[in-house]
Amino acid sequence: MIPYLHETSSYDIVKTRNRTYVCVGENMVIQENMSMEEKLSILSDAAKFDVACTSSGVDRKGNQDGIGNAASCGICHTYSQDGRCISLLKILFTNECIFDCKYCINRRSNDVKRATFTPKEVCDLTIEFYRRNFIEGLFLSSGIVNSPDYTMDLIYQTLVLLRIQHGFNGYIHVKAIPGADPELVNRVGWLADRMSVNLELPTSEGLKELAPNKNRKNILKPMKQIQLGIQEYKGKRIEMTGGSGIVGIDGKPIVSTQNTALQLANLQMGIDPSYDNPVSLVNRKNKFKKKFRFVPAGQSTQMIIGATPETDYQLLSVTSSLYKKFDLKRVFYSAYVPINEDCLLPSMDTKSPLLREHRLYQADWLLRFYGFEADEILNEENPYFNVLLDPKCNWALKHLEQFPVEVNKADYAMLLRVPGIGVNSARRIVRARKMAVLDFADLKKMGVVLKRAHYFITCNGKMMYPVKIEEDYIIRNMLEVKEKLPEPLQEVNTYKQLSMFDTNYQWRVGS
Amino acid sequence: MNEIQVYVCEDSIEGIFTAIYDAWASKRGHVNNKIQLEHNTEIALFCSYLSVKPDLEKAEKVTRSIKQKIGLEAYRYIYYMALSNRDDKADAIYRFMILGFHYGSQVMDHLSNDAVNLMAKTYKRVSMERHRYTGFVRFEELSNHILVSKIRPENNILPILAPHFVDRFSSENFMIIDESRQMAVVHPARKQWFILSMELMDQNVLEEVSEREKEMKGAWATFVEHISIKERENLKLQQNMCPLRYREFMPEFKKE
Ligand code: SF4
Repeated sequence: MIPYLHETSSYDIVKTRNRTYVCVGENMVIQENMSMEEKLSILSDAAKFDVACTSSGVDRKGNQDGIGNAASCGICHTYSQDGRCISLLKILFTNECIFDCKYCINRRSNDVKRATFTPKEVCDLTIEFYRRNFIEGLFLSSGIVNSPDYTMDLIYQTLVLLRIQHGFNGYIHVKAIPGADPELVNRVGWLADRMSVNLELPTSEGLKELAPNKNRKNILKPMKQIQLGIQEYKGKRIEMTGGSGIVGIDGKPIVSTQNTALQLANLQMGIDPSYDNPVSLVNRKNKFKKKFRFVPAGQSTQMIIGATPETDYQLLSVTSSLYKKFDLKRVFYSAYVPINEDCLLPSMDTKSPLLREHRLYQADWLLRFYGFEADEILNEENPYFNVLLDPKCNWALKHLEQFPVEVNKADYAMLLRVPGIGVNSARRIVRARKMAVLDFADLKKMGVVLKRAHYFITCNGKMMYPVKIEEDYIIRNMLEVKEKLPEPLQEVNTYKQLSMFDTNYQWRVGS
Repeated sequence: MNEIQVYVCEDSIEGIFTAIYDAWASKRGHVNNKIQLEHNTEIALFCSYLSVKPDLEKAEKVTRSIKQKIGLEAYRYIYYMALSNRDDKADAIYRFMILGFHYGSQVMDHLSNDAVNLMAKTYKRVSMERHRYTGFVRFEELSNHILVSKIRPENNILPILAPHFVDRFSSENFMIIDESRQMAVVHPARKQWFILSMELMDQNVLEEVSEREKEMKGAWATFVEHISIKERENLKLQQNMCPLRYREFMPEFKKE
């Protein structure tokens, strides 16, 4: 096992004009010398498929000595050209990797330009971006360089720099590297807000086939560890003091002295320790006491959708058991985009299953906020999402015997199941009907989408229009009111495209 | 027919509250009173106009009775309405308060009532704008290390936006300038913040941007470009989420 960086002195750095060689034991990393901006372009590009979100995170007040705070509502700082929210500096520490996952651009067997940050570079970039209000914080992931331990340790050092040295109080999400020493994962947990271990593929067979260096056990182990950590350390805080090292919950120091970690962080990759501090750090005191909680924003994970032939039902069942068995805060989905040619992967001209990803997120909301169970939404007989209808609508049409419901009486849980009534409007209805009997005009004021809801509700015993409560009739009428789909998905809403979609499904079922 | 008395007031919390105080004290009956903002000077028949000067003491009394009799949540609604860009906000607050004093804190549940609904909608709209700006504000560092940001919000959100950044950047000197209202939040590091009219600002403070600035903006634009998944490009969605009017001061949308 390679010793952690801050515990070893046995590594060498050789710097030439174009390249830097760092040797740890028998392993060597070769790096092109490149500018910060070049590294950033490579290492953000390499991180673009990772999904993270600061909402349902953590609230933390700022303090006088450090910089930053955290808001659990989630703040989006800008939107990239694909329309996705940017709230975190989302980068890989390095895109070097000793593994060879088939679907990944950074796999060992690919010939791509490689770059590696230093902890100090990541730290400076985070703080300078943060001060300008570009970001909420950092999302740090990494390819596996040398070994899982070595990689996890680099991430750990970065967090020590940010949290302890610079008193950075903003949001930090880091990956736990599968296979890394649990002690390291634990240390990182005290400094991060959220941790995630990516499940990558929903089934262990898929994983075996496409990620030969990974296995399900290795992925679930740190996930379990973090879950148990969150339970065990609930309500506990450890105090860390800038300048004097970190003391663990048992009173023992976590890092012997903070300086070794810092010096090593600087030395690594040949950064001159005398590199002057950016201006922003000048008026910050380095003597402060701060209390930390263990992974306060909880855990998340991510699955790739459409690289392997699972059904939607399988995906949703996996999601549901992740929420239940591992107390995850979020499960993210990433529609597969073909980047590597491989006989085990869908062909290069496969379209990204964006609608499928969209339906999964809709169903995921039903699990988390609407009190649905996975097998109410899909089951063995109906293992795929309805292309034309969102999952809630689909459910309602299959359960017409429970409708219509009387808006002035139905309980909150039932209101939530009505298509066209969301969490906010359901809450408003429950409040407003204490003061007055509600009619359809009132519902409209409260944000209910009547075009969808009116088939399923009565106000004061009356329906809005005389309609048949019958599946075919409602479907036909509802499809005329187009569902608001994210832009590129809209085209799928025509029947021509629909048949294309079907072959896509066949591919998945057939292979 | 009774003549309508129109109380004309300054566009500020103090102004509006003072007018409400006077209208209430007049005992002429609420239907015969109307409250209107100064700049809103359409003259109607059968109305007499009375200009009201802001009076802190009266405004305080109104604040206190709202908090006591209708509650903090209602006060928040009223405060946000007063910051909104609605021309009819002064009268809207007046009408809401009449209901509020009748129902007490329960008035907040009366969402099917139009006056309450208008308050709720406006509250949502103003807080949405505030929320978006917590993310879309961009600071530039000047060579004297002061961070400066410019925004052009629809509503007067500076007073509700500032606390977020004061908490976040307590050890920084920063300023947020509302370009359309020519007002600025000024926060000296670790000290009390305040709002200042730009006329009163010492213009010497606004030096050139620091040297690192160009580098950081470049790095940021590079990041935003590379984090996007080309295969999923969707400029329309991007524009829905980050409308053009917010982009004026966001460096990632500036063409080189
Ligand atoms: S471990 Fe696999 S997925 Fe992660 S960077 Fe390496 S090759 Fe890519």
